Amino acid sequence: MTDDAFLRVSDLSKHFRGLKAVDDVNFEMKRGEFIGIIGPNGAGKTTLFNLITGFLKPTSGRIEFKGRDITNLKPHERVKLGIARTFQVTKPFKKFSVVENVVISALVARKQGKIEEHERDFAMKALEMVDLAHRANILAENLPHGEVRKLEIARALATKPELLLLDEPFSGLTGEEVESLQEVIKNIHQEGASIILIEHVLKACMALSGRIIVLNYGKIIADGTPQQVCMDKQVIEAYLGKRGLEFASG
Amino acid sequence: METGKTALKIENRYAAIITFIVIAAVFPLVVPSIYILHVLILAHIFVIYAASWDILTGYTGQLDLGHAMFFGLSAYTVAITNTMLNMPLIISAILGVLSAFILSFIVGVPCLRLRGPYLAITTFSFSWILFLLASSAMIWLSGGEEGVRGVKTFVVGSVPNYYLSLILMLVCVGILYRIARSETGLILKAIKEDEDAAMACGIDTTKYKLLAFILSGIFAGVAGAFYAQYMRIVTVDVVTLELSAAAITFSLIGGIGTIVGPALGAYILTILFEGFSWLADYRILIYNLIIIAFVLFLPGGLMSIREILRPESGNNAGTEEVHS
Repeated sequence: MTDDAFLRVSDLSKHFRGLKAVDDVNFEMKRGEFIGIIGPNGAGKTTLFNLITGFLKPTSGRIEFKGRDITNLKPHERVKLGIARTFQVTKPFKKFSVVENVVISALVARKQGKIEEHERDFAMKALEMVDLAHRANILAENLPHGEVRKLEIARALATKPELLLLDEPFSGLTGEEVESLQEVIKNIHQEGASIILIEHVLKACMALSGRIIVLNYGKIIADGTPQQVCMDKQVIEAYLGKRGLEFASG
Repeated sequence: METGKTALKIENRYAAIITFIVIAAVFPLVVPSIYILHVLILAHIFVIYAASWDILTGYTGQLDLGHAMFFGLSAYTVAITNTMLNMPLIISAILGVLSAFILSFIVGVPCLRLRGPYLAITTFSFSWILFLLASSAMIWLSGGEEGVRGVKTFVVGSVPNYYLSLILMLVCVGILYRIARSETGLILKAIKEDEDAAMACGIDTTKYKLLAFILSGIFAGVAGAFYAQYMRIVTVDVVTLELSAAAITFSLIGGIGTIVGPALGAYILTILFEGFSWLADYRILIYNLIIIAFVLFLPGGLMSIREILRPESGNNAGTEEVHS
C-alpha cells in the first residue's frame, strides 16, 4: 500500500441532536507536520480532537492513521498506535506525585513493548523534556496551573506518541509561562513528533505551526500557511477580525 | 537517607504484621473464651469482606453501595447446595465463590458504562433485588427469616474455626494488599483519580474496572462462603442494606483506599458490636453517625492520622508506598 498520509480525516461528521459540531471535515496530515487549529468558541475544535483520539464516536466519516482505519478503535488502542493528547480542562491525577502521573503512561508503554527501560526513568526523561524534573516528587494538586499544563504534556509524551494533540495548552498561562511552554513544544516537534495544536493564543500558535486549519460552525473554512490564513477574507470575518492583518504583516 | 527511612518503614511494617500474627496465634491459648473467639472469627470474616469492597471502591473509585450481594449470594449458594442438594461442603464452597464471581460479571458489565451516581444506584438496585428475592419472592428457597439451616462445617469447634478464619484472612488480605501495591493497583488508582486521563495514558479502563469488580466479588464471596459454613445457618441478614452499609463504615473508619484501613475498621467495629451486644439495636444509627462524622472530620480514616500528625511528610501521602 503506497499511502503517504500520516493522518487522513475523510468526510468526518459529529452531530449532537441536530447540532453539527463537526460537519464533513476533510484533511490530510504528513508525518512531521505541525498543524494549528483555530476558530471561534464552539467551532468544533475539541470535538474534532475527541473524534481523532477516540473519546467520541463520529456520526459518519472515517479516520485513518498510518494507513490504517482507526475510526472504530477505542482511545487506549489509539494510544497504542501512537496518538496521544492533552485536555483543554486539565486532568492531572491530583493525589499522585508529579512523576507518578507520568509513570502511569510509561508503565503502559513498557507493557506494550514501546520502551525497554524502567518506567520511572522514562517518566523522568519526559519530565525533563517539559522542564519539570525538579518537581517530580511533589503532589500534582500542589502544582501551579502553568506546570499542570506541562505535566499533561509529559504524561502524553510518556506514551511515546508519533502524533501529539494539544488542546489549548497555553490557556490560562502568564506571558512568561507561554514563552517557556512554546519553547518546550518546539523542542518536542524537533525531536520528531507530529503535532496538532488547538489554540486561542494566536501568537504562539502562528509562531509554532507550519500550517493552520480554521474551523467555523464545524466546517473547515481555510487551510494553509499562517500567512495565507491570516489574509483569507472569510477567516478575518469569522474569527480574526483586524488581528489577522496584524499577524499577516508581522 | 531517604532509602534508609523507607527501609525502616518496611521493617516497621513487617514488625507490626509479625506481632499481630504472634498475638493472634497464641490468643486462644491465653483467652480460651468461646464467646470471644466467636467475635474474633466474625471479625476475620468481615475483614476480608471490607478489604474486598476497598479494592473496587477505595482503589478503583467504583462506588459500590450493594456489596452485601456478593457476600450474600455466596453464603446462600453454599447453604442451599450443601443442605438441599447434599453436595460436599468443599464443592458447595467453590460454587459459592463461583456464584459471587458470576454475579460480579453480571453487575460489572453494565456498570462499565456508568459513572458516579448512576453506578452507585445500579449496584444498590442489584443488591436490593437480591434482598427482595431472599426475603419474599424466593422464600421457598431461602427460608426467609428462618433461613437455610444445617450447613456442614469444615472444622468443628471454636478454636479450629478461629485458626482457619485467621489463616484465610491473612491470605486474602495479603493477596489484596499485594495487588493494591502492584502496578495493577497503581493503574486502578489512576482510574479512580480520573478515568478520562487514564484512558489518555493508554489504559484499557474497561478491562481494569471489570477486573476490580471480579476481584471484589470473588473475595466477598470467599468471606460469605466461610460465614455460611461457620454459622451453619444463612438468613436474609447476609443480603441486607445493613451489611452493605457495614462495608462502607468499616472502610471509612480505617481509611478508604488502603486495604489495611478497611480491615482495621472491620476488626474494631465487629468487636465493638458483637462484644457489646446491647449496642446491636443501635447498629444502623451508629453506622450512620460514624459515616457522617468521618466524612466531615477524618475522611482519610484512622490510617490518615499518622500523616496528619506529621504534615511535612504528607507530600506523597496518596502514593508513597505504591512502588515498594
